[in-house]
Amino acid sequence: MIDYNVAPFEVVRDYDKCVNCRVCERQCSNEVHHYEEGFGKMISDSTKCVDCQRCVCLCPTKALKILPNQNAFRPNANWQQKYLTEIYKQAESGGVLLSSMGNPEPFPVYFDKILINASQVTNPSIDPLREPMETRVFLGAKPQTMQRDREGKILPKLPPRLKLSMPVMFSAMSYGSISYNAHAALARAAEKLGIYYNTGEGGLHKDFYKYSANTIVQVASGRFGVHKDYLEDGAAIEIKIGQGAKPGIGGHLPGAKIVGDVSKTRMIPEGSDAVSPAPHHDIYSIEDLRQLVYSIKEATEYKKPVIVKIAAVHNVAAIASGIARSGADIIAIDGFRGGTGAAPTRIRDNVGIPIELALGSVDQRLREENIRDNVSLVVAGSIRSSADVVKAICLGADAVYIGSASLVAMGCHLCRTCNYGKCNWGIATQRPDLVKRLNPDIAAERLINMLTAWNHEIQEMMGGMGINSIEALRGNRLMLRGVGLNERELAVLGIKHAGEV
Amino acid sequence: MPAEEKARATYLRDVFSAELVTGPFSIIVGFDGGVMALNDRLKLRSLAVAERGDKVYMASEESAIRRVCPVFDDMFYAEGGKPVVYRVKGGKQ
Repeated sequence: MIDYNVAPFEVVRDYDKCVNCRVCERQCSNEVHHYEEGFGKMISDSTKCVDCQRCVCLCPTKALKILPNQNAFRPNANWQQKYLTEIYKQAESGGVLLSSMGNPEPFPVYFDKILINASQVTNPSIDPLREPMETRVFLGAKPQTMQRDREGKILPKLPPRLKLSMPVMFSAMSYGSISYNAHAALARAAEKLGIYYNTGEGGLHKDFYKYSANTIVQVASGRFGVHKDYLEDGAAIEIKIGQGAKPGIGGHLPGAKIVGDVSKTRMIPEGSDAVSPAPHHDIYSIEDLRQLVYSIKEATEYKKPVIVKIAAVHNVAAIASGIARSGADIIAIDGFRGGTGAAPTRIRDNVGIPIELALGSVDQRLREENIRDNVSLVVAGSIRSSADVVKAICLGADAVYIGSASLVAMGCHLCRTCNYGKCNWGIATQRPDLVKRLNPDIAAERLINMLTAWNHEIQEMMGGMGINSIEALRGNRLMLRGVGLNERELAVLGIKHAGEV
Repeated sequence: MPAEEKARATYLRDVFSAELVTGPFSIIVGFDGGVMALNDRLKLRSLAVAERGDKVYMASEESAIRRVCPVFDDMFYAEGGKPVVYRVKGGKQ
């Protein structure tokens, strides 16, 4: 049998620096490195390397580096090497290609083509070190009528809402796709920061019920782990209709990751593949969605806001308009760059639209139909920095979800092989020997550090624009200018080109 | 702030958040029966109000008022975020 597989990476070791400490051998779950007694030195099998950077980071003498394999097929702008190697894999296995994390293909990144304003002279900027800068956000529907008591005083009755100390929350990542320790870190960081984290569709582990005030529980199409206590133990309930990385299909967790507590929390047998169906089999129309929204509200006595999460697809504005009328309090939109534990490669790389365009279009449509205040908008896929957060809010979002960014803060290097369950950083794995490498206290601290830093950066950018409260930033398209965008793109985003007044 | 006032203030801030005006400003607004002067919450711009007899003068600078009325009984600067309202004598209440 001919082996057509080409190793994507090459491990390069500087033998002058290597001291044969064998840390790389112990740390690599893919068994790339081993100590060869006969030669008296470390040998690396590059074919197994996934470029997770674990050995590079942990090598005490920094003797290792991972390079792209220089062995190249004949250059071809159309038949790029990856298309060939993918066909070899499929010819060998007959299987659907699976990938992890977000779309890596060179589609345009609109956040990188949008610039932010600053104020000078006529409308001066505000110094965030001197003046209070408010980044606190409330998510939920605004009341449609105001009620007064017999003396004419306003009755402060608000529908249920979420209170965030800053406009960022941790996105849905299921227990099963990521480890117990990763979830612990997210929960603790959410509590300390005064924001929320999302259970994803893997249910909620009993140990995390104590963080319920900062937990959003997700009800996905597979309904994994959904029971009465689960709904009660969330600050909000999110109905997951779709996900940016795989619009139109359901979640997939390979049987190898369904072990022990993961199987108990999801309420399914060990070793069985957890494949969520594409649609919710009880939602086939917008009226069905309304029925589910109200069933959940009834079950939780109307005390918790209901979020509906959709993927950004071509008709997202019309879909969002329907959801805004269905009784949902918050709409979460996930763009095509969103991450995932596992998704079919072709769907991840070719289905969905960018979140920037989806957001521009949805915010515009809801305002035109006078229903923008029926819901709050939360966006994801992919928010990589505080500048992305500011741009998203200016385009109309109330808050953002961060998924991949939180994992990166915990140590992830985006090697995109989560689906094998051998994550060397202890994040996307269920193997106890790997999970214990992720210290939840340290990981929580890293998350808190990152978001504290982002909050300061957001305040600096806001102050620069002469704005001291995040509400004045929301939907403020005049604070953005596009650069290198064509007329259509500018129109969909609703912003002017740089240089236009 | 007493709890009841706090609940009402939070309600207004939440429901009308899209109407919040931020950044430095000093404005004078006329309405049926009177006039109101308002500064931004952080008092980043100046707003002067002077009274003389039954007349009131409002301007962003004291010097502007002195040009028109060199001597006055009382002058003060508006507090940040607190509207200063005067009603026209004999006007609509």
